[in-house]
Amino acid sequence: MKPSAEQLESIKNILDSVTNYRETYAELYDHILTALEALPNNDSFPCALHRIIEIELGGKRGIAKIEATYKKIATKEVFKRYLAYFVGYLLSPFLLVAIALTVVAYKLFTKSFEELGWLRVICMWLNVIPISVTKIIMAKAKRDGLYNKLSVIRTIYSWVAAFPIYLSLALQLIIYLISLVVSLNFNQYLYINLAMFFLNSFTVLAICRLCRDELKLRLAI
Amino acid sequence: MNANPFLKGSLQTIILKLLEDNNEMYGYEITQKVKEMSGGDVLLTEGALYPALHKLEADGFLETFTQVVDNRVRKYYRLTEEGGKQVSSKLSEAQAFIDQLQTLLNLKPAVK
Repeated sequence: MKPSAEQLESIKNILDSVTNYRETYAELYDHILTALEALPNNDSFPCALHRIIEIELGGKRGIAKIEATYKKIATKEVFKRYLAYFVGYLLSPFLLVAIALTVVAYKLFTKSFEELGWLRVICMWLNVIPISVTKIIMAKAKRDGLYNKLSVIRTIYSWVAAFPIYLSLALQLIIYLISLVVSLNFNQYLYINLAMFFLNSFTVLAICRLCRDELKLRLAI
Repeated sequence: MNANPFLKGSLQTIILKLLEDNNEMYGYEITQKVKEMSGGDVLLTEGALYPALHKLEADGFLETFTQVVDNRVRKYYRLTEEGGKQVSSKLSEAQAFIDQLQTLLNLKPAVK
């Protein structure tokens, strides 16, 4: 059976309503069409479509399960790669560059709390870089006009990119809470912030590497 | 996949073996191959197939590539080097399991 343009549209509409991500949409669209094309021409299209979606794919719940599994696996995979890059940079010659940058930061921001505030501002801007990179990649993919749905991988990249910001904010909150119980002196504040600056350079590099992979691999379907 | 729990537990082995024999396959093709080989006795549902494929991909046993076929994107799966090594180990596990069942349940091997 070769579905007509109208029938193709109805398949797209159904999949649009039950899928959230581009990868699953594309894979299931091809699956449904291939299954329909394997049927004889005199088969009823609505019955065949109903059987494929409701019985073989398990309906809305089944498709949601396929997506959820894919998302879970993809999330795990991206975080695993992110961590591997982070550790990889930590053990690479970049470590010396990061130490040198931290020493420079130490020399520049040791005079007052006001100067230390600037170090925090720099850290925050460092964290903005990955988010900007992922946004640029997403905008580029959208311009390609191949899809109208989000990609699971790109959605996860956005979370990973935002992760250092949340981590940084959480650490600032922890420091604030500690300072309510134990009074921290300037040096202690300075070392904590320098440590954050040092680690931030690795988180930024790791996410930039992930984004570079994404650009290379063109995971978008 | 049909309700047989033995088959459910062997889904990954079946997929790996099929891909070893056929080099590269897409989802629908796998379901049809299983149906054909089992004479229609084993029906692989897509609700079970795709999560298993994605899991094998995430574990590094499968890799994917896409091709545009009839104006739509088709995702193909094939074994990675690691996946190739995994096939024989999974098959040995399956064989050991079958042997154990035969011993425990005193089953006679099927004669064709």
